[in-house]
Amino acid sequence: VASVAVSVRSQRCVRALASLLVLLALCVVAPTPRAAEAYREEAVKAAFLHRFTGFVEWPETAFEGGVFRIAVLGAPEVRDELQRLLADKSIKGRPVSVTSVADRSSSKPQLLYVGRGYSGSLPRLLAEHRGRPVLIVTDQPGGLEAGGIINFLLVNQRVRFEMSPAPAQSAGLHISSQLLAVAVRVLGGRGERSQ
Amino acid sequence: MKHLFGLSDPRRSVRGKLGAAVMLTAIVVLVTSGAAMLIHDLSVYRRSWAADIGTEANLLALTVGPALAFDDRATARRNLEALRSRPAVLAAVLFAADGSLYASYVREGRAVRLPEAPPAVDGVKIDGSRVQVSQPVEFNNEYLGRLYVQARYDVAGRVWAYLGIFSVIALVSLVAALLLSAVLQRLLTAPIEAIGAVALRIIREKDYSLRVHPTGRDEIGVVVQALNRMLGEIEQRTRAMELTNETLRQEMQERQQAETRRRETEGVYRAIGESIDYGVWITDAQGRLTYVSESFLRLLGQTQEQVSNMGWASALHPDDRDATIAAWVDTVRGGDSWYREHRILGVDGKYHAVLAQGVPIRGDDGHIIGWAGINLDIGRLKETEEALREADRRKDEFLATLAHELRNPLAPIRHATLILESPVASPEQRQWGRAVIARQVQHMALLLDDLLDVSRITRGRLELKREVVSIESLINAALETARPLIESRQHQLTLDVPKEPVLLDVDPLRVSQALSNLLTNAAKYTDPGGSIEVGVRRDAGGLGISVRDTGIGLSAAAIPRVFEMFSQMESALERSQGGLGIGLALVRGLIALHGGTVSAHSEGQGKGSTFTIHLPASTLVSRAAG
Repeated sequence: VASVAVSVRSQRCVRALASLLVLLALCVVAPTPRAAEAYREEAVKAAFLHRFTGFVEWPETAFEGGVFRIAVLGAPEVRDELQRLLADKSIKGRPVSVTSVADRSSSKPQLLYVGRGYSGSLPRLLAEHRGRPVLIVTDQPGGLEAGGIINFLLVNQRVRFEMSPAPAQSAGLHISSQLLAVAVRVLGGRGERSQ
Repeated sequence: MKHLFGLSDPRRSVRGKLGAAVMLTAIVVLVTSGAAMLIHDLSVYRRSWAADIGTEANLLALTVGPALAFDDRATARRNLEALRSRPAVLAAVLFAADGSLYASYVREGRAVRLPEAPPAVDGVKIDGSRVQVSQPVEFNNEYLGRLYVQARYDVAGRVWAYLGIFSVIALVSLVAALLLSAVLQRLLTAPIEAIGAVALRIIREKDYSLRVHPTGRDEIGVVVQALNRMLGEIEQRTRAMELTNETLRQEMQERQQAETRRRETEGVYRAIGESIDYGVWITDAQGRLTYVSESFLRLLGQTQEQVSNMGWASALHPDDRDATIAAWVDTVRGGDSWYREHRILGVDGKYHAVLAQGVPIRGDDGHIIGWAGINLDIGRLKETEEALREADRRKDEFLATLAHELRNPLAPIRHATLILESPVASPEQRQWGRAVIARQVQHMALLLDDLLDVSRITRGRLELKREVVSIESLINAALETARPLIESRQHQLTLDVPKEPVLLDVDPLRVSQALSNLLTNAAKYTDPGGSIEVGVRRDAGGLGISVRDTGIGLSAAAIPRVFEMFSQMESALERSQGGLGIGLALVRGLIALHGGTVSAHSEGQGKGSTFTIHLPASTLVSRAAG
């Protein structure tokens, strides 16, 4: 709790700017009573992806070129939402670049999102990133088993997620217990929680 | 609070007042500090309570942050449920970022009205017995929603608990203060009581040498010191006052003695004044009488005031008055002494010769402050003067008479001598001549004898040769001398002598001499052919021998002086019988030597006179003894 409080306090310096960004994000993410009817899954997922970064710590060696890279595969809508959402924001004090999967060979992203539209072999893709400090988020059943750290799923028509902390630990990522506390299921944790 | 717990009650003892003061002070201190601490405590409590609830809300907001971030309502509810462990928290509401109610918690058994919209303002608000906290939920600089927490603020319970503790502390400390003051009072009241005891002793015994034993250097010690110093002062002053009183008493005594002496002296002076006729007089500087002796006032019949107002001047003889007043004015003006004789009209209607004599009195500076002097009664002096002058005149007369009496016989003697020497004188003539000489010589001898006797009597040189003789022999001896003159003037002599013999123890020569003098006088002052009667009468006081004549008699005025020396009647020189005027004086002297008296009686001039010799009984000799 103390460390969280400290981290919260450390962020106060950029509060003025952040509150503006938050307001902008709210315009997109926060469902208005009318927009609630049209619950946009992609927007929620984009927002969740952004929020995940707040609960995860990357080792300093993970970053190349001072840019926080996000790679989105098989989910162009989510990629667009992210690009819009993060257009003028930074993550971990770095400018953000949201890229497509096409140039995967050259890029070393810190966050990799694999959407439902990904046609390739998920296990093979994930194997490429195993052991590297990359937060892998999947959106299909069995995503965690395939090597993903976080996996989206729909519960009562609402976006939820499940987690697997073990690969994250081997990847050198540190995930906040708070994030684990709101996960639907934690793989290898203290038994599965059901909604 | 009446009389402030009796502190201002004058009947209350110092001990009681001290106790009341201690209790009152303790109560005031307790209440004041208790109230201050309560206020402070409530303030601290409020702040800490607000901070406590604020922290709770803050933590909860952090906890609930992820649930809100990832839209996990169940977790959010579970997070809020954790407040169950805080009984003070009554309710909590989590609002989403769009302001909709996301999750809520209400403590069981509590009916709490929850806000429908998130409170706009951040922070802690205490409102009566409620604490409300509105806390934004943020994560990673992103506003996620708002947390509202409502909790109890139990100020009344706090106050009651505080009052309970306070009451116990107050009770304990008051009891302790009471016990402590009971002990400490001894320390304070004992010296005060000691002071009081000494003060009472001083008042009772008037012993200002008593001192209070000093107790220390505190206020009571200062009072004791001051009291002791004051006592020292009083003692000193009392001693000085007693000394002064003693001095004053002595001075008073001396003054009284002086006054007594002065009064005695005044009494002496007054007595001296009264012993002088007519006393003393005192005037002021203006010459007004301020005092005269009583004797002078009695003489004038005036009061002191009347005399002071020139009453003495009005009593002056009219012939003396103006001159005396003028002289007095001059004397006062000149500051001279006063010496003046004048006559003053007494209250008896007679004028009294008074010699006033006085001198000015001078004060210390030499100025005259008055006069003082005496009034001398010089009336007797004047009378004596007059008497002396009269005596002198009579002496002159006597000398003239004596010269005349001695000269008278010389003419017949010389005439007789011429006749005796004359060759032609007859024997008869010669006989007549011798008889003349013999008679005149005897006359002169008698005259000189009388003179010598008178002289002896007045000088006290005459001695009586007493022997017992009969009255007849005395009368016969006297008649033997007087008979020639009686017969020559042809008087008729009658004797009236008692039948029984009368014996006397006297000097026969002197008594018969006195008797013969009376007979000679009777014969001399009775015209020829008169009658002379000698009578003898015995009475209780002795024996009376009277010689009565039918002669020229005596005036009433002449009777008192008839026995005085040289008091012969004025016409004596003209009378042929002449005489020195010492006969009766001689008679009186001779009889006086025998203790008897001589008296004269006359009906008036020309009516004859009676002279009576009275011999006292002591000269009578009883028959038995004889």
